[in-house]
Order: sequence, then structure tokens, then C-alpha cells
Amino acid sequence: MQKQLTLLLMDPPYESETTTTAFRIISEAQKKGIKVSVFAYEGAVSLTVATQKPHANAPKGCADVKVQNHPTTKAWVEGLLAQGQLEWTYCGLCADERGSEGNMVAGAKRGTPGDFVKAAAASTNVLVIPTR
Amino acid sequence: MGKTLNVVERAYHATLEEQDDVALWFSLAMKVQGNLEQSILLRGNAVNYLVRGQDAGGLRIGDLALDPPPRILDDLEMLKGKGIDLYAVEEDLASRGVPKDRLMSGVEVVKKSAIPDLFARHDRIWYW
Repeated sequence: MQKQLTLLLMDPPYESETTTTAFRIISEAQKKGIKVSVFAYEGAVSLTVATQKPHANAPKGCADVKVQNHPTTKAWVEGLLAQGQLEWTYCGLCADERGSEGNMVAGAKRGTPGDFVKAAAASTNVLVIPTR
Repeated sequence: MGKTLNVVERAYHATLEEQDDVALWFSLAMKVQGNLEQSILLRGNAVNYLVRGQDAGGLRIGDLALDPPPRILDDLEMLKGKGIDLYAVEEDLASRGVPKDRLMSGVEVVKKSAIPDLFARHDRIWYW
């Protein structure tokens, strides 16, 4: 039986290291053939906002956005989704209150805590990564 | 406007996503874009920013590589090169087992008891 891992994320993009660590866990799990479900709660719904844009870094002397190659969390999530074996669900109410509904990357699905419960019940293990 | 002391304590938060530390970046931007006269006091976990030999390279998530990675020490060198004085709290280095000979050069290590005097030499104290 295929193993399944569920993660609940809460941190918004560009605010902590925990999300990057979660991305690394997801990537490694995918390589091992483990199915991953993510429930993005509260600020984490912004991880998949589609209109995120990379930027250059003029104060540090880099005016070329291509050279700066700034990552965006939405690009990372898109990359992870492209690897397969990943379901990304964001809290619909959290997206509504942040005005981000309708501005999500393809593959990110609106959901409720009930979806998290279903995924958790089907999972080998669950990791909650809250905001600190 | 006088001189500002930026006290940076929270460290390694989103440095990978941002490719730098947001407080240090803001200090640089205030210097470059606003010519703010300032100093930086690193305390708490942020004292580790001063350690030579750090390497955050090699991160890859899915098919996307983080390149360039954050280079906090280079950023601190850049800040110093723009005339921004750097300070670090001695007790915070000691409690983390960071020997002074592993720090970048040009940093003034101060005891906690000396911080009030450091405050007194600045017109504003901004805590990050």
C-alpha cells in the first residue's frame, strides 16, 4: 500500500524558514514515491497566489530580474505539483478573507478543514507546522 | 535625522525564500535609497550571521534550484563597506559556542552591560 504524508502549513510566504523546510520534505517524499497532501491554512494560502512576481534587487546592485533569479513560493508549489503525487488544498475561508480567491495557481484546490481530516485519516503520518 | 541603531535579533527567517535577511536588506536599502546613518547590533540567534564559512547553496525543490542562495556574510560585508558599524553581543556568541576567531573581521563585540552606552550614542533604536 502506498504511503501517504499529510502536512498542514500555516506560515505565509517570505516570513519563515518552516515553509522552505516543508517544501524540502515534500520534494523528498515525492522522490520516495510517497503521496503527499498539503492543507494550507491561514497565511499559508498565500503560498499559491498566482500573481506573485520575482524581483530584481537594486539596493544590492542587481537590476536584472533574471540574474537575481528570485524564487517565488507559487513557482515552487507549481514545480512540486508537476512532480505528481501531490494534492494541494488551501483553506477557502482563509483565501476569501485575504482576497486571494480566484488568484491561485492551477492545481491548488479550495477546501475546508474537513478535507484535512480526510487526508489525515488516509495518511501514514501527519505533520502540523504552525505559525510561531 | 541623526544616527539609528538597528537591533537585529530574529535570524534565518525566510532567508532562503528572500535570498537575504529582510532586516539587513532593509538597512542596506535605507542606506542606498535614503542615506540613513546607522549601525547594526546583532543579538540572539542573529549573531550567527557573522560566522565565516556559511554556505546555503545547493537547495533544490522539485526541479527548481535556489540560485543564487542567500549570502548573509557578503551582505554584512556590503553594509560595512557602506560605513555601517556592526556590533554583536558577546554573551549571545558565548552561549551559542561561537568563538570570536570564526567571525568576520571588523565587528565590535560588546558585552550586554555596554549596550546602554551604545544606545546612548544613537538617536533612534529600531528593534527587528
